[in-house]
Amino acid sequence: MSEIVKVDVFKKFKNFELKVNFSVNEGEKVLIQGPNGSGKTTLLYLIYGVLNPDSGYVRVFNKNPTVELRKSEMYMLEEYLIFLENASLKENLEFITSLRDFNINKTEELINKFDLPLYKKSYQLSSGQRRLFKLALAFSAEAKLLLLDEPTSNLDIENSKAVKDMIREYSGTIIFASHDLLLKESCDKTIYLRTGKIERIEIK
Amino acid sequence: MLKSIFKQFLTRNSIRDLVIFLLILLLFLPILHLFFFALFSSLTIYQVRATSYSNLSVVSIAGNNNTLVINQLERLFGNNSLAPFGYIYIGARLGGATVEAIAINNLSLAKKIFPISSMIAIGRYPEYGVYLVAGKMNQLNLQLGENVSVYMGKNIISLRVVGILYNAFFSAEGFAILPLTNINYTINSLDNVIILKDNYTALNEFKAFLSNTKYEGLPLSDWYSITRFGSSFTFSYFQLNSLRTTSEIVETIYILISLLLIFRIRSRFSNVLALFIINGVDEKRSFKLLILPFLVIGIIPLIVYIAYYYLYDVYWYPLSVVYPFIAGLIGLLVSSILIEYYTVFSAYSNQHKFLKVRSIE
Repeated sequence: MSEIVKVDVFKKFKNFELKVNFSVNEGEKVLIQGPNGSGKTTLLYLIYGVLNPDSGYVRVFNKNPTVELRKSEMYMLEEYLIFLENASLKENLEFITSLRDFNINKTEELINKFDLPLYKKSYQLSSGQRRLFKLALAFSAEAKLLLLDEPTSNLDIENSKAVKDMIREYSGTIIFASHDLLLKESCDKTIYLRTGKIERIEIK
Repeated sequence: MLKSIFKQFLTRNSIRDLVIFLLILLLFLPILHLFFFALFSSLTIYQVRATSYSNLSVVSIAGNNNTLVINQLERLFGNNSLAPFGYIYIGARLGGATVEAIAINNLSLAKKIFPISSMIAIGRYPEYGVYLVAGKMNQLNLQLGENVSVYMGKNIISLRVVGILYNAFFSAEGFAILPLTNINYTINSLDNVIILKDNYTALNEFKAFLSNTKYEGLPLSDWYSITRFGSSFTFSYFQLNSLRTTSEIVETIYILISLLLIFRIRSRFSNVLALFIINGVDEKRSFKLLILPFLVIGIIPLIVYIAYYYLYDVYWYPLSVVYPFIAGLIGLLVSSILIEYYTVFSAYSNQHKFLKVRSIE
């Protein structure tokens, strides 16, 4: 299997340093675990290209992670769930799906599966509903690489299990950060982070 | 898509804020205008009074024994030091107007004692001829360079309209410079004479002459008065200059406030930009998608700006303010685009910050 993500980066913040080196193979499901503030989200942002390393490199499909790659090849479930707050879920759906390619049928299928209220305003949704909507988009983005930040946060057990299955069954590569022990079942590899460094890597 | 973007800033709250902002501006502009008008009027009066020419003496010669008085003035100050000054009536096909006039042969001196260059909308100053305010030109249907009839006492002469003045708040409707030579009139054709020479001895001698010479049992000083030139002319022209300066300052302040408004509203696009970034929309496409919303934000303050222009500027400065006004209009729209450019490209250069933005009204 080919390596589609290669990471060897150093990123320094005011009170925090991230220094990691690992790679991810095509089709792998990689869970990043670690205590709060260990650098999980920062690492996902570096892979998605919204953060630049101070030194080292991030290569995704042998390219630097640019906005261009986000159009079709990779997609991220962001840390803070960003919506057009004054628009309904339906309007958000229309807006976001006009920005890049999505499998609309798949999106609608997932929205129905999660029983999301399309005509409610975004700010009227619960945290769990907001996340489920974003998950529906992520899993219908048809990206070769999915980055999911806390995919099951605020979800009930039933929906968490559904997300676990979706991760397992996804045909592409997924790197996801989570505290949810349930998701360990769906990964091939777990990277344990502590204070910005890889403590250990477990391969199933 | 545009509908969704517009919804981000056209919320009930933001429309309420905008309406309050525009109402405050509509009230604020006249207050600001009055403040600067008072300030600059005071400064202009001070400046005019501070010049040596404002101390020149003006003798009112609308009395009954002018020959005696004028002979005395000519004897004491010399014929070349006296400039007739007062009001004339100009007649055109569609009516007429009373304007202030000075008869003088020295144009550079006329320019110094009547510093009205800043009031000239069209034309050069000084020239021999009539300068009329723009509103009066329109009213009389006169064109620059056209001849008008000038009535001075019993004399009628023909003079050319050589300049157009901005409209004024309280001032006379115009001004005329008459050449002393080649025109058939005497020194007392106008009601006053300006003594162009600062000669205190001669002036005291003239005052003594007025006090000591009796006419119909009364001293001539009861019939003829001597005043300072500065206090007789200042009021007729200072407002013009002040009004224009004030108007320009108020408009500049307005444009700056409008730019602040655009800056304030642009924060409502944070989530839109964050969604662009996360969904792989590049900078150029983001810029194109946001051009129309930013132009609309720029156009909103223009509504008040245009109202201010038509309610105020067009009336007082009908001939020349269109250029700064258009520059203001274009400036605001261009600024909207520049602010958009700054917003989009700063977001893309700091994507991490934008992805963390989350605002719920």
